Amino acid sequence: MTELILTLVADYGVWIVFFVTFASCLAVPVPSSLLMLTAGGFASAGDLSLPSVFAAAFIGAILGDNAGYWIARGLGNRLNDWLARNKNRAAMRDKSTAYMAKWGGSSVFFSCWLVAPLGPYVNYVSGMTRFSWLKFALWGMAGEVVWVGLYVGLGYVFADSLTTISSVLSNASGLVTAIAIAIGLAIWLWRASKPKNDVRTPQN
Amino acid sequence: MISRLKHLWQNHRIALALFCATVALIGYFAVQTISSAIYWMDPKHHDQPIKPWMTPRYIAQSYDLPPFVVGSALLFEMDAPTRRVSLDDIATRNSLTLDDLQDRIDAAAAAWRADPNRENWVSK
Repeated sequence: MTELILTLVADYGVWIVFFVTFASCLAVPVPSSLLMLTAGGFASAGDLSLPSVFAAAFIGAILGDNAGYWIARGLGNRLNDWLARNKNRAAMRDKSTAYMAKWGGSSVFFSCWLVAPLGPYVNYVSGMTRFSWLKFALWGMAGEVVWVGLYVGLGYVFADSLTTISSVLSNASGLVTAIAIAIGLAIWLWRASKPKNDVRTPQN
Repeated sequence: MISRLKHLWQNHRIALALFCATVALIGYFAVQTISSAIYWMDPKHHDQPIKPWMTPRYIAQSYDLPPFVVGSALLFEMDAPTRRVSLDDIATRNSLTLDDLQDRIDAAAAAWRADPNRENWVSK
């Protein structure tokens, strides 16, 4: 699958970069990071133009993020009744909304690049909780500039050894994502383990 | 602390197990990241094996060879109107396998690097 997509770069150039970054922002399992590295390497070798690789990846990612947001927002409106009907579901939605109100901007920004595997889900949660679209779009753009610039730039600089740099980067990205999830779970577990203040009736 | 753990074990066993699994994943990715970084930094691995998606210009860049050396090794006209052709296509067109192409590139690279008068090589 990965090799097939990479082979398409020779035939279709930056269009493949556009479609793959778009799809990856909707949680379609395509090797977008590896593809951006490769396209950056091709730009360094003179087979593609660097600005057009950057533009294709950036526009694809932005459109993908916003498509995910609006799909989830539409779905969220329809699910509203269903969510409100059950106490647990409603509580979960309210918690997510409160979380997004507090941490939404930075979550969108970092999920674009630092913990990129979580990106599509943050897009969906943003839409579902009706997080401000303007904030979502602006933080998302800032994040995608970093994501695209990082991977295309590294591909360009380390064009000689794409196959090894890509394995270093994909492992590092997995490491950072696992650390982020562990921190999130640790905070949740710590709160959940707090001993409840038992309300006992004083004994006479 | 122990009482908190006990409480979690009794009430949130799945979340606790997920946390342990994530910590294990951190260890796995940490080892992988370090070992792949060590592999990357070793100059022995400079010439990366060719892959079907690579193009002649990319090979020239990666192996640090002049384009015309790669072009003749790969039976590819570097000035051809279609700039990008994958090695997969080149292999199919010439009824060769990817291993054949690897051998041709290795031979061309060895000849180029061994010749002290290589500056006199002219592109054909």
